[in-house]
Amino acid sequence: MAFYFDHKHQKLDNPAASVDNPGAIIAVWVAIFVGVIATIGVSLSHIGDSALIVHMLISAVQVGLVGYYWMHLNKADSLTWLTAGSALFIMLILFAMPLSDYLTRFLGGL
Amino acid sequence: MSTATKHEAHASNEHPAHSAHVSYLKDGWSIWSWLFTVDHKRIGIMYLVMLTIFFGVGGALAGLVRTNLLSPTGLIMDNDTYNKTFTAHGVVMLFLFLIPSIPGVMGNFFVPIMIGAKDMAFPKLNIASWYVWMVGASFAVFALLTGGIDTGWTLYPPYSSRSSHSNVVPGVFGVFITGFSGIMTGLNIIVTMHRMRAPGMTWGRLPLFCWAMYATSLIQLLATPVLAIALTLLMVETGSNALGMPIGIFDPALDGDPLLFQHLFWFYSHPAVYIMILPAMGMVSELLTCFSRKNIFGYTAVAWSSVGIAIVGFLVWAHHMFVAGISYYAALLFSLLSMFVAVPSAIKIFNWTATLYRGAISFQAPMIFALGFLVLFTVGGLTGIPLATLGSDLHLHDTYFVVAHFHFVMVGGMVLGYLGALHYWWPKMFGVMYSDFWSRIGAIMICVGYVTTFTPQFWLGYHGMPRRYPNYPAEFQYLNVLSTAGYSIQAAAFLLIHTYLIASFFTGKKAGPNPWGATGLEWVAESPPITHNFEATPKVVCGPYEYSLNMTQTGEKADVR
Amino acid sequence: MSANEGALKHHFEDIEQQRGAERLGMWMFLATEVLFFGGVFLAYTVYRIWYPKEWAAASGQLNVLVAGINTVLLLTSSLTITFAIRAAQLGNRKALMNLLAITGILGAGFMCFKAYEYNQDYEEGLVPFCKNFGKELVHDPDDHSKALSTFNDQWEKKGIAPQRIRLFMTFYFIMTGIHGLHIIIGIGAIFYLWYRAYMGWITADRYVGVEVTSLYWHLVDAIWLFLMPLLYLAGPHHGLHF
Repeated sequence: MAFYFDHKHQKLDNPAASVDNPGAIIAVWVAIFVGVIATIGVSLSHIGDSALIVHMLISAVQVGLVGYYWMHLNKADSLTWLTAGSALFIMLILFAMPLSDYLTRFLGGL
Repeated sequence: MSTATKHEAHASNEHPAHSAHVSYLKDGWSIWSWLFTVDHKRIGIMYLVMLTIFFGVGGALAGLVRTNLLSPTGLIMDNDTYNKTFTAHGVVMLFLFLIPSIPGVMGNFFVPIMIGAKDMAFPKLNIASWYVWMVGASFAVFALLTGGIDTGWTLYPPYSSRSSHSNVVPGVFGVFITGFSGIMTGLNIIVTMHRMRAPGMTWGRLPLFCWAMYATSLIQLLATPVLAIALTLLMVETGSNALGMPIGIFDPALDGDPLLFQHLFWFYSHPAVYIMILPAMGMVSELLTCFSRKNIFGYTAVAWSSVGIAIVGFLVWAHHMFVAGISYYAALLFSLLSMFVAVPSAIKIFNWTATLYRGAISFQAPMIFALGFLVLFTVGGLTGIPLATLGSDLHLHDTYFVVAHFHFVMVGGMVLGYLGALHYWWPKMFGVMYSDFWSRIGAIMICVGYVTTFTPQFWLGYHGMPRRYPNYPAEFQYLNVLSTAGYSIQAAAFLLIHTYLIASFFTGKKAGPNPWGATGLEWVAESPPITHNFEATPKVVCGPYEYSLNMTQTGEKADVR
Repeated sequence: MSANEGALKHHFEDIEQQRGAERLGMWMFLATEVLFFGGVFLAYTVYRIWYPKEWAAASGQLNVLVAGINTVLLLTSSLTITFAIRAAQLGNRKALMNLLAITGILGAGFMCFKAYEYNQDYEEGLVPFCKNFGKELVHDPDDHSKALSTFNDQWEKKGIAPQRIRLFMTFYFIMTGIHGLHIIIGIGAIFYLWYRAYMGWITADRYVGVEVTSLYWHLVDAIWLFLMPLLYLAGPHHGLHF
């Protein structure tokens, strides 16, 4: 087994040094909970179909909080950000390009 | 990795005469040491065996299709069987051969070695991907054997839902599962390349094959899930039809939209074309430099054009749907974007040509495949332009022109790249050399057979012969016969290749670590490599193609012949 | 991976490289998950644009109270698993086990409410795969005479196409179904973690297993945060249906 390990590379490892602050974890929970109440409230507020926009904004903020604090994007390296970013970028393509078809399909020809 | 460790200990107990580090082929002899292996090289070989079988099956099905087309009224089968045969050919070739081929075999086997790692980042995930792929393949084969699928490999609803009487659901489920396998392999390769590179192996020193595999894996990761959801929706719709409670997710009669399936399907399946071609492009970069003994021209441009193709490849899919009724404005947009794929592709072609310029070219089998790729891919790429152009696509859509175009790209590109890779790395994988003479003959036969098969189809398509039809007007017969004759040349060439490759196990002379005098890191390892690839973690000192200095990436002399 | 080996696997050079690889692997998997759900969200969006009236009508029949409770359950389970990482990093095995158990139970609670909801949908004749679709006698919220009528009659009166309602309900079942499948897989992973903690296999240097599982669990939670307003609160609501 010995050759598997290159002992020079082993650094001191202390996972306990990078724990989250409990107050911050709970604050995120409270913020998202407020968002859930707001989501239901917006639906009852007679603003009709525009509730969709508010819903999606609230959800985006909620998911942003989950990602940044609970999924530790705040401590993540640039590669993790790149991974998350490329998923969102491809999502953008997946929505924008087909919708460019659906939103103009019944406009007729040139 | 307790199993691997046990095998290691076991093997060294059994063979005290050997050093502690035997080659991966000799590290355990039982069937279980293969089936439960976590060694990326053995997994690559397991993929190679299965892919060879599926390639044989897909090729035989192509033979049936071509034989039937010898006569204008269909020579050997009725129309329904013909539908099932070309569908089976498409499904087997695409999902069971082309997509997993280079990533599964060469990606698994060589990416860790080329970056100086001991194994993939997730060895257990790696073997799991093979099993998942086998499960998916079993479903697909089951569906094809017990009644077949008659929708074409594109599985468009409502062919595949309301009006299908064939085994769509198990077949689709099989394809769905093989997708997971592709995701697993792609994920493994990306993480491995990010986290496991040897000291000194910077991104600017990565071999271009690794860059290409990186771009491929990106597509696999980001596109395959969309196919998975499209197929899930299709299975729900087809299943609900079978249950007598039809749901019209994609059925216009029930207020669904069939184009939605096509959008979701091609969102994956167009980038999937680049899953097939990109690894072959990476391979060609390796081959052209090695056999012209020149540094690659424009390393950065070739490397980033792979990533460029991967990104632009996501933006062009609706050119498969120009005549299907999508919005005129979207069609214009997609037509324009499709043209942009030509830019990174041309960057590659021009850089490769410049690499060849004034090189000391030797025409061994891998090089013949690479040069064949260069010509055939260029033809395939250029004939894509009339198909991306809105006006000419109206005429050419769904004709044999399309068939010829994508076969030139996929088979002329991808299969030649795969065969080139196989010939180039055969001595590394198995430690033996195949016959030089017969391999050159085989490579030339493939290229000749290839051109003979598909060039007539451009004429057929241009003059209006639609794809997927079993019948055609009598004046098209001589071109169809010519095409089938070309198929026979190819079939003979594949038999020849399999013969001399298998014969090399018994009669081939032993290959040293570096039979081609190449400079990549894989040629520093033993042939065949030991289980952990290198005796000690290699230190990389230079780029991958220092042919002018005749220096490998660890700084040793490359060509000592 | 047996318990008595070091946390470092043989093919990695050091422990941070290994943790980085495992985290990155999970993030990439999450990227595929995002796109997997992305496809069905796109399909939903297309039909929502085409059939807003039917979308609002069908969405109004779903149980918002259960959806709200489920949201809170899932949100709280995400909270507890975040604390579980902290406990693992601090090497607090007792707290780790408790927190994982609470997370798993909250997830199971989510699934129980889901089952209740599916059953209610079946009894009201809203399952598009079943023969009783639209044929059960229910209250019409817009009709104040308190008389019972079938959905088919109610929809006909309001000029709503039943096959579009079926389309919405199909998306509802596919989206919540796939999401529920992810929850079940997540519960399995969490109880496997609990078992490893119980056996004493999760020490502070091996906390990354908890972190990676939490990443997956958070994503499932995040997807629910989008599903909830899209499915239960589509279109204008003039009151909550329970």
